[in-house]
Amino acid sequence: MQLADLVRRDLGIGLGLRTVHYGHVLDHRPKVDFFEILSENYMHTGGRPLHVLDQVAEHYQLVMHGVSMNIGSKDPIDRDYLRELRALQRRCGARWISDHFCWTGVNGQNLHDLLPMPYTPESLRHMVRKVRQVQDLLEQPLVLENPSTYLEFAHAEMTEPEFLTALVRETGCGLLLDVNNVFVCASNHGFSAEQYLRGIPWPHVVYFHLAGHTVHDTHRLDTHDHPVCKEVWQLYALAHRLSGGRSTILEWDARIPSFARTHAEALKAGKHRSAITRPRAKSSRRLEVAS
Amino acid sequence: MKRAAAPRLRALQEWLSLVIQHEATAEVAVRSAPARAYFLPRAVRAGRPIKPNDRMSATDRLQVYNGGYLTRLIEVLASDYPALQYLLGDHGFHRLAARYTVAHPSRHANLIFFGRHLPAFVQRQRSLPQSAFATELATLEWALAEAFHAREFTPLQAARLQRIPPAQWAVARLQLNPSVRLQTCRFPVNGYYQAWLDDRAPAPPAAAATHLLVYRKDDRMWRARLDRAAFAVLQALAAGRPLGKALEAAGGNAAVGGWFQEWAADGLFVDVELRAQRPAAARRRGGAETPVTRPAPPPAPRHPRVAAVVRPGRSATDRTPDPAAARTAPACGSPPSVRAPTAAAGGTGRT
Repeated sequence: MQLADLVRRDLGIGLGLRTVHYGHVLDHRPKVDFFEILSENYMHTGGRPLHVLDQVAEHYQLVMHGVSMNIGSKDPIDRDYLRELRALQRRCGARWISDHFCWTGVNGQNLHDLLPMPYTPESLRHMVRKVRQVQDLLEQPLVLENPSTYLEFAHAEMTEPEFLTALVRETGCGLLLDVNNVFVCASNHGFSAEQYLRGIPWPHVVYFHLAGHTVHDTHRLDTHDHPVCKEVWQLYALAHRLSGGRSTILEWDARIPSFARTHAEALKAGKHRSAITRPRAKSSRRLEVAS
Repeated sequence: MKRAAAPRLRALQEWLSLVIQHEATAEVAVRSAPARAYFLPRAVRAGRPIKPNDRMSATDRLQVYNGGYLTRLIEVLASDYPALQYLLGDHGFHRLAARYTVAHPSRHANLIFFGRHLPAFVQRQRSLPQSAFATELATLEWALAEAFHAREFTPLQAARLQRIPPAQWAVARLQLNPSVRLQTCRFPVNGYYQAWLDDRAPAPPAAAATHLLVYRKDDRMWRARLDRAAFAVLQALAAGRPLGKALEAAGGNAAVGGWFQEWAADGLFVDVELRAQRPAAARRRGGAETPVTRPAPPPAPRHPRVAAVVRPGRSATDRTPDPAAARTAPACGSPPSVRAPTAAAGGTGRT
């Protein structure tokens, strides 16, 4: 599988599959373009989650999204984790595997959080090496997401789009652009979200995430417990125009409403996608995974 | 002005881990001796390695991560040990969970393993009220979690048991399915757990020995209270003893045939290992065969029940909608780790 193949086909508007919606999805089989599963929910387990997944996979296109690859950590790659991940993909036929460009722990510990990377030449060299390792082991392009962050490093030498552009150029990996995370980070760190989007290497963007967040006095927190805010919809429209159109997932993870309400929120994306008339990005050698 | 050297990535990650995992606050953490070995507090105040902004100091920004860390992991424990939380109360459980998080930080990519040391940890907390009962309750809840996540298995068909030659019954080894957990209790912990499930506000019970079987069947968790002899038979099978030896543990209990029928119907067995037949040629040579005194084999289960039913002493734990699903959700992915974040002490949490 080459990155161009992932980028080229717009799967439409999908949802993050959540436990509270299992019953509705299995009983009613609602018309949904595709589902994104949280990889770790179906790893290291052998009971109900897998059996639900098997049934969902029979009727829907799936993609996988994880949070524990820990690709930015100075620790070595967890090969057992990758083996499990690959086995899960084989089982459910997920079209791609995504995670985050972040780290989640060091020295064998896992903080189970998406911790920010300093955008330095050292970080870039490190990430390039590890992304290549992972892609070799998974035998496919890895798709990485921009996380929401709440701090900045004084010694950073690049912006996030500059770092991402260098990373994808060196590794051929794909990007999952979380539009809500762009907005949250822009607000927390005082940069222009529009300028950020204009610096993104679009031919590498495989899909979008949308979600809601919480506003505090001092910062915005990426909580996935609200509808998508107006500003994020506006950014999504711009991102969609700049990209030429990409698959889109809505995430809702806390205070989750009914399936119908969640799906209706996701389908609002259609309004912002209708203006797209440009042809989709074409395959190019630059998008092939470095071997 | 000479510019401070940029910190190396490993040092930065080790320092951030210390600050985020500190049980107090980020402000206290940056002044702690381990953290000072990386960056002096005055450097942090001066904006190295974390930049302040016009609303938050460097430690305010670190606190977002510090606060989220403990919140998230305590919620994972609460989802694995809800009855223990009820027993200890929210405050008592929070204190226990916070100490546990310091003593046993997660070392696995999947949060489902995080709570595995809690029963042993509770046992070591001598100051905990009802610590012996709390330990047994935690053990039961972890057994349910393990049964939920046990690897996939295919129950042995009852017909396969029926095909075991009578001469092989004593030496056959029955393999239990990987979800089976056996627990000897000094307290009626299952009754307490059921009362908690039923919202009957149970009080900690007086001591009374019980024996519990926990297992998964058709993706549901089951708890069965067993009598001592039946428990002993399953314990022997779990230890890999042949059926003959396991039956000795039954002490001649006449109900043993019925037990095996129920266990087979409940899918407790996944395989049977028979003793290899001696080659006919060896038998003809008249090799000395040690006579084996075999206990009478149990009647083969001829009428396996189709489905388990709730009956006295046994109660289904239907985890649908399953609270355990939250346990499988990664902290940054979907657990409600940030239900009520505060301005500076909230959690981070989403993807």
